[in-house]
Amino acid sequence: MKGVKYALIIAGFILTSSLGILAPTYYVSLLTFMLLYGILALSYDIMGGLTGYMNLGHIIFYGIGAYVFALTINTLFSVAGLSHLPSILFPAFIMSMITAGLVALLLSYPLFRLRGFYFAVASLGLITFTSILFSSPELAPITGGFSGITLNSSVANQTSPQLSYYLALVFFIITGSVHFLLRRSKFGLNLKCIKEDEEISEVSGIHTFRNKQLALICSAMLAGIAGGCYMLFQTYTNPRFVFSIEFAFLPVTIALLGGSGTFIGPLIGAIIFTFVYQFLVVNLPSLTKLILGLVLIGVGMGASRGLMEIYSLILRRRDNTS
Amino acid sequence: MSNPIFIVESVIDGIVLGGIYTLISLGLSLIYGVAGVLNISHGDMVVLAGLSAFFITSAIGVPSLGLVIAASGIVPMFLVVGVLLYYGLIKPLTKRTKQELLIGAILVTIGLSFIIQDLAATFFGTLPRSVYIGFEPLKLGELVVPFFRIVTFVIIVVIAVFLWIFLKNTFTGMSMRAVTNNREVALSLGIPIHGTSAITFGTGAVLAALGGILYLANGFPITPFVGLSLTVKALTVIVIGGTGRLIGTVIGGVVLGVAETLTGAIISFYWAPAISIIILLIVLMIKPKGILGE
Repeated sequence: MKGVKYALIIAGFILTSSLGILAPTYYVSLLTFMLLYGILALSYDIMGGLTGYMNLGHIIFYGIGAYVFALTINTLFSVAGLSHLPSILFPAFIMSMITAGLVALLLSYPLFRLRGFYFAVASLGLITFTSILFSSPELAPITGGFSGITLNSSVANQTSPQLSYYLALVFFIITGSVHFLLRRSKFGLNLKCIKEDEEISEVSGIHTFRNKQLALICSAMLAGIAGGCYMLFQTYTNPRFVFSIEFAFLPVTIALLGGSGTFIGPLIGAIIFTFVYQFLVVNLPSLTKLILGLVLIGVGMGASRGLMEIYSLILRRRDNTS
Repeated sequence: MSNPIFIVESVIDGIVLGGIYTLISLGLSLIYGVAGVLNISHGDMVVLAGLSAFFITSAIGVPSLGLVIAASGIVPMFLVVGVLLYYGLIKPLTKRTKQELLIGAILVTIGLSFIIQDLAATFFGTLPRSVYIGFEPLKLGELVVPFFRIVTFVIIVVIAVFLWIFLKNTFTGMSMRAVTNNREVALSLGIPIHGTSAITFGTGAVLAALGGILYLANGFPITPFVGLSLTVKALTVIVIGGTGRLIGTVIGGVVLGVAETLTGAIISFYWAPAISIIILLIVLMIKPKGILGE
């Protein structure tokens, strides 16, 4: 069984890395989106799946990452005159990550005064607020207001969908590993305790606030990197794209559709969701929200461990009969 | 901009707007207390009621008469909708553990919110709607107060007093408070939990509908997409006032309403929608238990 697992991982690795070269550009873009959604779902899951706090505003870290990435690249290009791609991509990704982490650090102080439903709705409210902030006339000289922000064209011309795809793949593997290691570490165990019962964790010596804070920062940093990757890939964004409420539910839905608290669950969720969502946006744009709503109700009413629950049910049934 | 008359008018507007927020928040907080579920589609119910009232009113032609007819049709309908919503979507979730209930209820109510938004946009269009009632405004020197603001204020006070009497003196109201206080004990005393929860959902939906109709009738514009931000505002009101207290919600509503209109009057109308989340974050930092909290 273990051999099969490793074989699958290696096969998946070969498949994904060869797809970047072999697949047509349209599918490479689709796969890049899939990987980005996967990163978002996995990084959301550090809060939602492990800690049990539904951070519905997870998407703001992604948006902030995208904006900071573009701002860093444009500043480096215009001020320092750098245009060699690796020398500006690296600091830009670092900046996206750090800024997202800092925002998470700041937000953790007020937000963790809340729990459960209140936490979820307050974090949801942050999306609207960030959207207003980024499209405000006061900040327009920096963020571009409603019309959004564009990567400097002489940098954007050097990128290709393939480059974004491979970067997204690397970040996806990093996120997956972080998620995997977290679940097995003492820190992850603390988070699981908090999810089970916060009072008991507190009295048994877990510093709940510090642990939650760290979890939020981790998940924000990963989302920030994903945002940077998205910016590199699209070279343009505006507040309506990255800070929209519908988009905010993608990571949550993907994580829960596949089954949260696992690595493979969000991955399966991302694969299904990307293709279904793409199909809907292309073919039934006016019904997308309605269908998304029905899917949300379905996922909410159904097994909360998602498709992984069904899979484990099948396994159990098979083991019982054989 | 800094004309004092204008500021006073904004404060009056803010108090009335705050009263409407209070009604909406009372519905949300009642439901949360009794059923243990924060209904994220609450704001969309407000929108749905407001938009339906707009179309009934414009079909009738006379705004004041139209709104009364619309209210008398919409309010009972929302009572039924709330009860059905509980039995259809929320009751199946209540058997779960706390964590599973949280996830399930958030996804279900958000999904419902998306569906309402989509249907409202399809049937009512995406334009902002509001109704202007042509009563003569009251004039005190330079101060001009639209007459319907005062009517709204009286209506809100009457509804709040009625709700208070309902919660204190009727059996259903007492059951609601019992379930809010302690679910297990209430169950063992023979209070029908599901029946009470269903009625609470109905009451919450009625309060949302009344809020929506008053919001529309005061000339505040409603689009199909303001629902979620109304839910966030209602949550802010509950947190500002401190959870589980009627009077706290009233104070929270007025604080938010006045803050919003003053932001619009002094800074710019662009920032008015953002003020609720700023207040929420500040209150959480300074007094996490709310203004009235111990």
